[in-house]
Amino acid sequence: MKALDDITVLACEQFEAGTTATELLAFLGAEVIMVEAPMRGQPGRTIMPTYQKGVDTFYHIYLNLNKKSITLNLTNPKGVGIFKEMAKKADIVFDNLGPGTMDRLGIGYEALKAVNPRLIVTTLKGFGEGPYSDYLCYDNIAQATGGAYTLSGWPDKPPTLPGTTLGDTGSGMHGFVAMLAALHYRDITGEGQFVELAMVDNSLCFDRVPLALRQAEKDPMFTGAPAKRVGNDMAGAAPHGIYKAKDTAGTDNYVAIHVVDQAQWHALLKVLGKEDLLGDERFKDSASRWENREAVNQMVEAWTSQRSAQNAFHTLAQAGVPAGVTQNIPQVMNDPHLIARRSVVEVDHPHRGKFKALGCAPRLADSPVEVKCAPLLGQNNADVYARLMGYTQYELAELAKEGII
Amino acid sequence: MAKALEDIKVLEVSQYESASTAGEMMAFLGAEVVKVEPPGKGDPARYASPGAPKDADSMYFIYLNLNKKSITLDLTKPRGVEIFKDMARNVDVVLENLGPGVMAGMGLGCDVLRELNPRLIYASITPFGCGPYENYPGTDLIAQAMAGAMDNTGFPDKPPVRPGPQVGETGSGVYMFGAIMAALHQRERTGKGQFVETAIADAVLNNMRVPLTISQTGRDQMYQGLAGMKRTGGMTQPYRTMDSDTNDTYVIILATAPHMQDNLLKVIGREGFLAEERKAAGPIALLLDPKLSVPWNEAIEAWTKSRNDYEAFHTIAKAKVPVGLTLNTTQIMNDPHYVTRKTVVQVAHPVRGEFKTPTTPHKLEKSPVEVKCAPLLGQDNEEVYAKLAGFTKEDLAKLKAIGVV
Repeated sequence: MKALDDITVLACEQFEAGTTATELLAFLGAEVIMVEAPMRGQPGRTIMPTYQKGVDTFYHIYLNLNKKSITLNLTNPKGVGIFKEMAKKADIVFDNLGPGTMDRLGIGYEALKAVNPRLIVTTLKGFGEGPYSDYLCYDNIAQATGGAYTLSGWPDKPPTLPGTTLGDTGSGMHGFVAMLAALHYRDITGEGQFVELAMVDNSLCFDRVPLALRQAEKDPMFTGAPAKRVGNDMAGAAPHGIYKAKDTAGTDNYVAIHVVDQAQWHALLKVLGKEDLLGDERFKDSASRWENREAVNQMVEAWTSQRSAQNAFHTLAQAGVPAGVTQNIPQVMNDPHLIARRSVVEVDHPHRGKFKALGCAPRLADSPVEVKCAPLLGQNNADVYARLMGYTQYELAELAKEGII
Repeated sequence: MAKALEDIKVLEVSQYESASTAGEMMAFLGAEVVKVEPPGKGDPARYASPGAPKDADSMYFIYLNLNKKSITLDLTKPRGVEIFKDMARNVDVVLENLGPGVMAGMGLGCDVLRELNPRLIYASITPFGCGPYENYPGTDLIAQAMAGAMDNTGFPDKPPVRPGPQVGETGSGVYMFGAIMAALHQRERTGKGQFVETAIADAVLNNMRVPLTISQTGRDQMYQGLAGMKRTGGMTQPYRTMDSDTNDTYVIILATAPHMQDNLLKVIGREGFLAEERKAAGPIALLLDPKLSVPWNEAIEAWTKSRNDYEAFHTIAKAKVPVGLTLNTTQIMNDPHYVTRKTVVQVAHPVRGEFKTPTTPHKLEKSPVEVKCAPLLGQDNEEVYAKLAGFTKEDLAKLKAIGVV
């Protein structure tokens, strides 16, 4: 059994934010049916030129594992009729199409509620309802609006785009949890409802702590000078940042260290062989260590530069000091811990062959995740239409001829 | 039910950010979230924050603990452990992030509590999660290093730098909220609770999926081109405005479709610019090939840098071109769109006074969010102990006297 294997989701989704939300549901057992335009499918399938035309991109594959794909022409009234029929048997309808699209197609909330009041209708928009509701939005725009740019990078450089697609995947995460909260409400009351999310809101959520630490503390009403960029610093924490190791080359293999409290500081001193500094006034608490961070950083780097980044990482971590390595992409995909816990997994694709992908972050002991490949376009037309509409192969062929499927 | 999760009771044994985030999101949607804190000073987040006043809660704590209740309980004392176990019989979720093995070491591990309450969802957030590094300490910085986020952020001529958002700590909290909700749904079907976990490192990893696709695309030429663009901002360049030096605001545009690029040229009065080259190369090459992207970016910046930030933003957005501004922290917290959506609200704290804070992205039709301030330490001892442990005021006084409460 899987936690959500009694749930059916119809997904009108594209790119990364929406697909992330429903992929999480699929990992936990939900039947997620992507409803795609016949012939073309989602734009993500072809967003990057691959080595051979017609082959799905890894961008698409990574974001749509464990799902099903059907084709349906929603610009045709007959297609819309079929969608509404299927919606009677679904639990969730999800979309992250542009503002107003679902309404224009005739499958907005009011229309769907009328055919199935138990339906949880969830929309993930860019800006969402409000003064900017019609404005278009992508990952980097959400990150710019929500503070990721202004809070990332160096004081002497412009606002910097994070290397994480937090605007998109971060939004997908929030879509995932919001749908499940609505599902709980329905489990208790029997009622569906409308759920709305905006990428700009989702993005802001990840910035609460820097907003609090770097500004709200002194300026709780935010009327004054904005927060500045701090590189890898965290005010009040030392050591906090990256340090050169023996094998640091270019930008690879720095050691990341973050000492949070006195116990970890003592553990660090032990590793450095500097227990004589245990009582030193300069380092007696976080605030003092921050004041004297130059001395702290020098002492730490004198040690890290004597050994490899991986060696430094394990030595510190095993001694109870938070540490890591600034891993590059190949290092991440071959990380023994991530592979052992199946955060990095091997999957097979009918055209692309074997590849490594990322697994499921929320882990349920009684709902194990088996990662399956993303579906080819329309791969599940036969089984899904048979189940939800009772269509035979012949009927499907007719609908294909009409351009409905 | 007036709120989606108002039938859910959570005991949150939390410190700092990750578990506090998960609990806060549940509290916003109506769950009764009781934070269990050590008597005396409580969650270190209350005080271990630079710039926090000596005798009042930090904004860091307040931001992460809105809408919750607080009780004090010393879990290092046997009597405290007994009381916790009694209360655990009467709740739906125990949520913790004290560190690998800490709860078990106190006699409050998953097996113990789930035997007392088979319907209990036991939720643990740790830095690395089960696997070879499961006992390693870690924070957001460490997770961002290990999962490749730092390697992929910043500038080619600078060391790796961390994204400012708390991708790992907040992210693992968001995923945990989802894991708990999925487990609650499974409980509706089976009658049983279970163990759920998320890892801070996994949260960052999942926000790296799109950059990580490069690891699988040996044969895809375009991806190789993107790989060479690590830490360059990829397809977008922040464009200066008249306010860049005062407000630190830059314009971010992601116009990947020909009609968007046409609209943009119209706005800046350069219709026909690079027309032949664009037709030959296609819309993506325009943004990636320096022979085209350099003149393209110059033309756009020539326009933006003679306009005020918000003026540039609205003009371009209304032309249906995806655009954003790298808002600074003061701008974000006063932005009309966020304020209208109530994503940023004003709250009163009994000691700190009025403050502005981000709230939740989860907008459920049938679960309106009323933001309440974070609790003072032990604020809800009387009410919660009466309800969950049957204690009278006298019982509490005795327990306080021996330092258990």
